[in-house]
Amino acid sequence: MAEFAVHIKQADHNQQVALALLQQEPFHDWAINAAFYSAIHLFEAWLYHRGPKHSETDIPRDDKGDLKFSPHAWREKLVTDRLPRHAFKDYRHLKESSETARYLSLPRSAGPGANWTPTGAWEHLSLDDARRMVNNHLASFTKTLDLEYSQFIESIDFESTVGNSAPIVRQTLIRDYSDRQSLMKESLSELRRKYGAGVAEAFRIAAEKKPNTAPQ
Amino acid sequence: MSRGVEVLLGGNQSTAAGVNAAYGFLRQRSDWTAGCVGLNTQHFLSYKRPIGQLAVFYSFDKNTAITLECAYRTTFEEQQSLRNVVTDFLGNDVSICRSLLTEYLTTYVLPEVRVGREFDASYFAWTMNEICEAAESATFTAIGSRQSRGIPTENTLHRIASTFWRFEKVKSVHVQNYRSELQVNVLLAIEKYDHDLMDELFDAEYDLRTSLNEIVFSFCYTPVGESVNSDVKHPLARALFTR
Repeated sequence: MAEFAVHIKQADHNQQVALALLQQEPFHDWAINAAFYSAIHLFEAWLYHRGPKHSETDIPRDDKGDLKFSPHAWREKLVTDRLPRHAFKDYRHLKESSETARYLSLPRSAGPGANWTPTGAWEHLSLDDARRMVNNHLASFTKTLDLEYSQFIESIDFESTVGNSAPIVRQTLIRDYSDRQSLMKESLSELRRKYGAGVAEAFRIAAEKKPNTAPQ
Repeated sequence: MSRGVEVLLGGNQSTAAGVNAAYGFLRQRSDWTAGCVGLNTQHFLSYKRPIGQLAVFYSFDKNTAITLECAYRTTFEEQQSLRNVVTDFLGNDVSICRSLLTEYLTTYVLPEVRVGREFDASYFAWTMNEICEAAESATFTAIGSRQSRGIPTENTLHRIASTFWRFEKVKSVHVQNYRSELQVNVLLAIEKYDHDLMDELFDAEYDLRTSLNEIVFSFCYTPVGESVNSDVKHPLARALFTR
């Protein structure tokens, strides 16, 4: 349950690990694991401003207070419900291949006489498979989430102008504008009218520090 | 011309009553004319023309006093004689059709009919896929129990089974409940990761997830090569199909 910036850092870190492991055959199977865990952090970062803030704290509970669903299953439902089909498939490719890479199966379906595929993960998943997971599916998933806008909103110091309302402001701005370009088209006076003087002031300060990077 | 399957199940009726019910079903189709060719005491071939479609009725499971009338619509050329159509059908289709339907109906449908459930079978068209490239829609109805609805979970399981049945590399599908989620374990007859296959499976999975949105799923695709199915089934898991 990390904060937005930590999710982004961890996603980037894991992606770098994935890229490095692709260069170290036969350890490319672990590149897939790193790529999947990058995707998880990217999605959690995407959720952060859109709600639920953390998928794991959003899992419904039964009458006894126990979790009704496993974290992975609940996160996948959020992926299904909130993202388009192609992003769902990117995520599932990463998750499924990484589970295969780690376990070659899941123990939950195994009986005592199970006879799994005779190859190791690095043989079952080729270097090309691993490259496809990292370079195609993770890249496509990242592009779909388009976290650049979230990162920009996160970088604005709303705390100094609106205090504890900053998280609400960020969620509202991300809800109201599809991307950074559409937000940049707004004038400060319009933002002041819509969201109050504190929000406009935060953008003015940001633009003062880095001209043309925030609404003016 | 479209090809399709329509199925009518007559529950708790004699064979004759079931056939009559099936005829009644066909008579509702004003663009068809009725006819009947008796093959033997258990199987009937009925046809309706002139729209170039052949309807075949099967009667199953007389011993259980449940008659299943399956109307199999296929296409044939107008200039073909009925005799040729019947000959072709008997020569090519009937054995496949009978074995598929018998296996499917006895495994999945009869238990439902026996307990008086009515359910939509539009997702079960895979039983006929290999014969007539499947129906757009088909409806199984347990006559005499129209007021009862099937347990949603059973429908869900049928849909999952039919979704994965069409993938040749899927050896078996098991399901089990974990907490409140439905875990679906799909065993794949693959030795290497098959990206194209997985891509198709994820498409099918997405369709299931979005159409059964009230259910929280957990899908797992396990590569098992050619290992024996029974060895990889958890005692608490329920097999939807194995092959």
